Amino acid sequence: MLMPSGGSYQGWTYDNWGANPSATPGTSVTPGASNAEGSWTQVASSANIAADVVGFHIQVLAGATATTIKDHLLDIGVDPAGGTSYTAVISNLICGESPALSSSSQREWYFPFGIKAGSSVAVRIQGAAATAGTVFVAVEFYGRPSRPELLPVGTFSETIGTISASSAGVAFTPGNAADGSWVSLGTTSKEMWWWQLGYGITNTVITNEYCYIEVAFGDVTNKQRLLRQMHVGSTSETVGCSMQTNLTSARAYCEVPGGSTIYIRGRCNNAPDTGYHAAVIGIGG
Amino acid sequence: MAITEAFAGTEAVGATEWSCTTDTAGPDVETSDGIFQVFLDVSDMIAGDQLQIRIYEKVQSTDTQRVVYESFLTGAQASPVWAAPSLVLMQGWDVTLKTLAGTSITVTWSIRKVA
Repeated sequence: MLMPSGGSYQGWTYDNWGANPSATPGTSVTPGASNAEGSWTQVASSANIAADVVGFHIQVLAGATATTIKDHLLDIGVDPAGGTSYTAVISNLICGESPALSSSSQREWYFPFGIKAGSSVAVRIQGAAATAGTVFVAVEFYGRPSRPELLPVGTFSETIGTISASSAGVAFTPGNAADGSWVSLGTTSKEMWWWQLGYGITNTVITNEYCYIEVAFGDVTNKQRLLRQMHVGSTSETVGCSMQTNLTSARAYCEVPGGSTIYIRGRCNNAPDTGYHAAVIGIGG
Repeated sequence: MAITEAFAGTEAVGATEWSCTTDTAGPDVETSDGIFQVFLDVSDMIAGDQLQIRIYEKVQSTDTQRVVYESFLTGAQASPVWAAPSLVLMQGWDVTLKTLAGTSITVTWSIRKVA
């Protein structure tokens, strides 16, 4: 096939941000309490999804509570008809301790994932805390690309990293002004090409510290970097990121064969908080 | 192999899907075979316009005709000549245009064939 070059403009979008900007954009979601799964909460109706979706941006915010462990796991579900029965297409995105918009760091992801026009989309959140609280989830969907041949669109996801009964991912310990040891998150089943990091800190006291978190694939001796982001903690027990390179295809796109082991490590500016944990989401198809 | 212009035309495309092979409402079913590439002059597009471009084909001659490629152009085009990928078509294909936003968009097309 002779292929034109260039980029792709998406001629359709839908978002749930709200008509006017606010400190709490998106949809208010009540997580499950004490490690229970929450209920599906619709973020886009079948009428809202008026075109085939080729990807979506999602931000989770305002879920943190001072002096409280607020680990959260987000599922994104799709119902192709009716909006009454959702199937998770992305599972256990670690998004806890999410900051308010006034924070200097945020929790955002981009998933190039296909959703058929006319589908309903919902999210649900599993929460670790006994008091569920609320979380805001802001989503923007994109469709009608001018150059679909230049725009990979995924059809499945895998969550790499075992989720514990306490709603956390795989534990890892960043180094103090040095790289920590690589920790295996697990092994992929299928070939995938898009990578997003979910991480949190299970701790009632999260300090104002900075930490590079690096994800790679390979084996014990040879690793190829997938992502590197900088965690920014705050004294109000929030977890967010700066330099969110996961939102760029330059960093998030990498073809990884099925059967690959995914690794993570961290490098903190001081003695790190305890309780770092992670799982990554891969997109393929 | 010869290169020819298999189909060409101009239309003020409105909200009715328009066939570039028959120059009537579409899609229609064209069965000539070859490697085809679509060129469109979309210099008439302005802010607020949106043009849907579809290429249909059947997998086998007895199958249902379905969309094999779909593109959406939005607003004034910095590159006012648009070219599709080249596709091997033969079983029952068409190229269609439809205005999704804006009143009508005048489009000139040329479908080149290598066979």
